[in-house]
Amino acid sequence: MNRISRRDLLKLLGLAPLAGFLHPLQSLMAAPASPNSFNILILVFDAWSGHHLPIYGYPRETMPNVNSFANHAIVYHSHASAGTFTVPGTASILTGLYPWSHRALQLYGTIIRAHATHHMFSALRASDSTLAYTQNKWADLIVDQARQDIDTYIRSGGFDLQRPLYESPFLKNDDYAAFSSFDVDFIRGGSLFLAPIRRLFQERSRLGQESQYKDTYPNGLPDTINGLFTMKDVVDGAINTLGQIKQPTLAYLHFYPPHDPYAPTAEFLDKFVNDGYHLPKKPVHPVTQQTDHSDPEEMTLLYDQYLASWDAEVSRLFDFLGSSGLTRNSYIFVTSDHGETFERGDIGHFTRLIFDPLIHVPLFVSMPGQTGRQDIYSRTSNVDLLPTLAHLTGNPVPNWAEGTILPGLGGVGEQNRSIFVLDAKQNSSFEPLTQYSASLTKGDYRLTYYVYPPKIQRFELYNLAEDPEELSNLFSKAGSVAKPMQDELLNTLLEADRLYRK
Amino acid sequence: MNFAGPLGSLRKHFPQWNEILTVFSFVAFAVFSWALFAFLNHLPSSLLNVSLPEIAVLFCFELAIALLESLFVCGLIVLLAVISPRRWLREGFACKGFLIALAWGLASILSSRFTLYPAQPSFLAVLALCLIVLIAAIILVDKYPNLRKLLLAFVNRFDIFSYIYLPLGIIGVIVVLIRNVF
Repeated sequence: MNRISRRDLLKLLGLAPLAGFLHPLQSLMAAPASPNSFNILILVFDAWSGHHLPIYGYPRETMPNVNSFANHAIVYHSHASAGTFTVPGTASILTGLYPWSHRALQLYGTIIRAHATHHMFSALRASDSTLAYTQNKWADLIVDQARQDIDTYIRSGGFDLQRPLYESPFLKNDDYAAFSSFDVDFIRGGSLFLAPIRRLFQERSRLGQESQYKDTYPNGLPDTINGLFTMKDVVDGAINTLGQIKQPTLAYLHFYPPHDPYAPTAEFLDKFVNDGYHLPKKPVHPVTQQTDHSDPEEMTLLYDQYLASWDAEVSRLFDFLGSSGLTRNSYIFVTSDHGETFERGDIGHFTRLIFDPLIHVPLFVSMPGQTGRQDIYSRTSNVDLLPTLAHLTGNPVPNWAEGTILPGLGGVGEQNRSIFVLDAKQNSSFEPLTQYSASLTKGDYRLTYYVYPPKIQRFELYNLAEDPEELSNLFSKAGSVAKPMQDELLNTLLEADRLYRK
Repeated sequence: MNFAGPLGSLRKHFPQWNEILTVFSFVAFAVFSWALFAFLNHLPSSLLNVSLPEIAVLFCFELAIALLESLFVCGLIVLLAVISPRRWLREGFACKGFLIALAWGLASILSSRFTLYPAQPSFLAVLALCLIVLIAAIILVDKYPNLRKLLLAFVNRFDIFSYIYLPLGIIGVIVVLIRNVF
């Protein structure tokens, strides 16, 4: 056998830098994950609380068309978001990580560098084409981090009536920089001289658009803050987009409705009025900041009317999924990034509180060709979506993912599983957690911890089976349940924070 | 053809070049300082979350916008001087242009601080109040030459900043153009 001479070895070493150039070819060389690959369609409705759906026991028939879709899908009855507003909630859907790991904690927040490439688009890159659209700009900032793994990217104002300045085709290569400079500093932060003029022009444009659509939207057009839109245009845009996908594709579509401001259409403005439904009475919570003093009953009514309006419009998308054959060759996930609350002194979702209306979000998964309904009651979380997608497409479940495969789709349901939610919008992303709300739900119990020094530090424990409205705090009475849950929650947070403690 | 006649006539409607430069210097100082403040405000978190090249791009965007805003605002003040009667703004333009820019900036800051939506009466009230103060200040400057001199001495101090901000702004515009056009 010929021995390799020193000269040969040096020649071989000279070729070593080529390895770096070969790396991008790895994904092309990888074998397809599965010979029978299906599309994965993820439809996210922003700020959509499971508490307002009849399928989960709500008395108002808010969304009959969604209900029809769910009747041919797996219905998850105890599904939770991982955050309480768009940024952490969406980041957890996309990364399969809890907020303490991805650290997208505040408005304008993004995923930390260590996890910036850890998302569903990279996890399914080997098997699927990828497509992403999110109408919510704050979710779009997170999607923007994954742009190198997204084949078709639709800008957040793509289907809106008004395109913001930063989405000008001229600035196509600098989305993030254009948004940060134009929107964050120039418009919202306030250009020194032009801000009032721009605001007057925007107002003029808004009034013009609203007068044009007054017959359909008597209360005003839906508004993403960055632009007005009609639900019809957004659904049309989604239908056109999905009509062009090539199998197998992972498509993530994140719609703004039913996020506030609630803008029901004329058709649903009288719906549910004086129908006898009243919110359960709940005391104002000591941790609430009561930033909105609107009447919760009126806001609930508006939210429900908006849900009904969105349901009527989005039914066209569901019809299209059926008629185009996408229901036969796709797994279709319908869920939300977080819920909405109208109780205990808070309205909307900009709150420190963690209660069921804010974190119990719908999850329906229609499997290819599914005809009947399957109900799953074990506890699941939005961090489970990514491992499930990887499993379904034959990709390895990434070792960084913190969720598990959903029951009914290859996973095993565990009623005693620990489900976490974290809200730390007042905390720095790069410092240890010192100001936050966190909850652990396990079995029938939910333990919530509020820490806002120097005044607030309190635990609450609720038995969700016996007290679904979460009115009776058992923390001081049920020590045998509370103590192990308290230890688990604090140890989990301590461990998650390890990297940030000096 | 002799253009001296019509061009000369047009030139008469414009303020003196050095006075325009003085107003531009003040506007650029205000706009660039504001933009740098906004940029530095985000820098600590950007350093932890965004790569250095991306931060450089962000900085160039801020500079480019600041330059365009400065030119636009200064241009608008000059236009106002061109279309208004000579005595109103063209006489003592440096001083009056400075007062307009000052009132405009204050109106902007106050309106964004105290109002959320432009339709609110408080938004229009702030604008009206600043307009009244501006007119009063211009009348005072016309009436008291010493006050004008004092203001001019102050405004002229900003000239030096335009030597820094103008090249920075041009670099910003070039970077934005290269990244998005070529």
